[in-house]
Amino acid sequence: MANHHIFNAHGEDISESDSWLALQVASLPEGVALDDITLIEVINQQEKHDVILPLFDMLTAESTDHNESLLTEVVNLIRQHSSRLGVWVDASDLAAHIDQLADLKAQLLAQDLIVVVVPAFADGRNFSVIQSLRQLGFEGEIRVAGAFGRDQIAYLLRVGTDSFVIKEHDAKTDLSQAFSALASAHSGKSAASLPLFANHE
Amino acid sequence: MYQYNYADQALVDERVAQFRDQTERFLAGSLSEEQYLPLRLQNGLYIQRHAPMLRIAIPYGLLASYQLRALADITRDYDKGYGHFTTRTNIQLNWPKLEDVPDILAKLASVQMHAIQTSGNCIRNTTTDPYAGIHQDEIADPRPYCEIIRQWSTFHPEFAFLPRKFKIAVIGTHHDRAATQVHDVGLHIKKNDQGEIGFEVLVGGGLGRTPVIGKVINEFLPREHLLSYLDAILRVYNLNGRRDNKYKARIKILVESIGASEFARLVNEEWQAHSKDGELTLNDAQFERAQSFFTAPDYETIDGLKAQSDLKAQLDNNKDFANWYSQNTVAHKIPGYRAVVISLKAGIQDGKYVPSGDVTADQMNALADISDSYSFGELRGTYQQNLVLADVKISDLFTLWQQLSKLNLARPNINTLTDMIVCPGFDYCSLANATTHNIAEQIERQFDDLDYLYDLGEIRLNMSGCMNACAHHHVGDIGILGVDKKGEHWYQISLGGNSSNDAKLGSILGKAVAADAVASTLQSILDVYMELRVDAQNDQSDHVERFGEVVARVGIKPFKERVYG
Repeated sequence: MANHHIFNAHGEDISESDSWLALQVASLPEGVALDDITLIEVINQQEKHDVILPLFDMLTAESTDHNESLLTEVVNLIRQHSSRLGVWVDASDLAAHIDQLADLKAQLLAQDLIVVVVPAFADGRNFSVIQSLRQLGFEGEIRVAGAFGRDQIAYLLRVGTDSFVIKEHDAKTDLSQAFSALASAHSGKSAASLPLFANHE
Repeated sequence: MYQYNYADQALVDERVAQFRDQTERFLAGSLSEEQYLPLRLQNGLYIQRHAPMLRIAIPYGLLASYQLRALADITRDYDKGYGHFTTRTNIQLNWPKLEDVPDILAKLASVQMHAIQTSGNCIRNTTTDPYAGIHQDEIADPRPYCEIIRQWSTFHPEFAFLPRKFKIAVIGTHHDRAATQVHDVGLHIKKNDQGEIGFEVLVGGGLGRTPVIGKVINEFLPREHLLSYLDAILRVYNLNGRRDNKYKARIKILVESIGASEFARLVNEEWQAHSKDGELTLNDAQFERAQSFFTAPDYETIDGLKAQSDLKAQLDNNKDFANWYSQNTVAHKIPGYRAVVISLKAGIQDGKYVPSGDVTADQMNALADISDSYSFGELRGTYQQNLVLADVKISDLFTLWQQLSKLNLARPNINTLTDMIVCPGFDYCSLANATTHNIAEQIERQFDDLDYLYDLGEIRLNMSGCMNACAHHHVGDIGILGVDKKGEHWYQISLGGNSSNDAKLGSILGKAVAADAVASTLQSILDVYMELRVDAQNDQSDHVERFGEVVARVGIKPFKERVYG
């Protein structure tokens, strides 16, 4: 996974200071984090890491009524051996469960990081998924990974994205315009921010 | 008319810079075709049969004279000296070079114009009534609401990659001149018993391969909730619309599949949970500000009686002028004024068919001057691919008619059979299956008798070159759809469609007819209509039964028997 970089909302490469590691599972897509970590490493290593888990496995574990399931045990074990926990989710999977978002509020809000993995460039559900997470009240970090394009960064920022996982090849190009594009555009969240009404309140 | 402020101008300038960068990266090979596609489409740029096609936005059809002059310059400098007006009241250039497009956009930005979101899977140009603000029976002027929607939808970060395109139309009168029932969202301005303004909200209308009439999901949405409610509609659509098949991705398919009431429930749930009464709620001060851009122009106080008497003398003395007056001018709420429809259906000129909606650079410049002289420097595009001068003194009509006549822009055929909506067809469009211009020419040659056209009365003929239905053939009294059969172009005819208040989809007459038989088939259809219609003299009233009414009354069987019998 080392052929990726992390950029913050200002377009700065923050890979060196980024501490998140994705837990190795069979379903883990490429490029969720700069590196991954096995369950054994999480549990055996002295150092506590910031670990990203699959959202729906995490939710299943945490929504079990009696905290006795194997999955719950495993997540609790990971939690004990981790510094911070985050989750990754495919935007299309979250979109399919969007009507349950309110029920998952407590668990989602407890995360430090949500990585939204974009399945395809033209699939615009990720924009609404991120917007919905913000509407839900999630104030932690939202990171976008996957098949998004640099020309979507300006839009992704406006719906509430904090950081981006960008491929090595693209990270080496000048991305400044991608982050500063359409600087005067509104966020879609407030009528007062439309040009017609700005400075007229 | 809305005037850009610093923020609006910055936005279009930033867009030019962004698109220049994207196009340079594409031409240099560092931006893939797959990723450039939606980006160029959202700047109105298609790759067509011969060249790219650039669709320039004319928000809700409103165009200032200085903008039309800039369009004339652009068509001269970067194209072949003409442009094509569309049913979405935009204008298309058929021959620009890809590498010139950033410069064209820069020139447009200098006159407060752009090509933003004129294509692609995003919210498109909002359309409205071409007579907005001048109709006696208008509940409220729709243009301020159109402008608010324009601003909200422009670069809306969440709704730039929708499952499919999304079109909104707003009207302020009961009479629907904007085909709102075949839009993804139709908004009808209403006033409730308390005198408050709001909207009847329709969703899920559309044409194309699966034509559907929109359904009402909210009978009265108070106007302050306009944006928050649209936000909820778009979010439900963005998350739930199909993305696996582009032909099933429009909101109409979603609404049809789950039902209008379930769709309304989802929207209401989303709205109540998140956006209702939030920061997207509009207030009276904001409405006043939006309305301040659409105030009445400086109308003169006119001696109505004298003006009418002078006009009557002109009408009595000149039959051609009288024809034009009765067909191409429209009542105005201010005494002494009328609206004038400029026919962009010149028909055969110098032996050659002029495509519906086409205007040359010379005509654009002349029209800009004319609008300055006679209509406060503004023009409007119409759904039927014509232009309107909204505020003309009736004392100017005769001179104006003479000037328009010299420009071949005074053909007195508005709302007649030859006022056809026609898409560019196979000659230009890479989606088309069949040519349209040759068929339109054939129809023009067959129906060249003005008295006959007037006798037929108001009738709408719409012709599309493929099932994408850009010319709205489903909702014409007579619809013609070009189809390809083993490399040959054939034409399927439908009857009885309507895009207005009584919106309905036409019924297919039967098997498609050969290209050389379209006009003669139309003649047979019109003969049946003339034979069956109940005229005033039979009916003790002045009502002449219209084509659509006859089809509704007798069905298509008599037409079918005549054509195929």
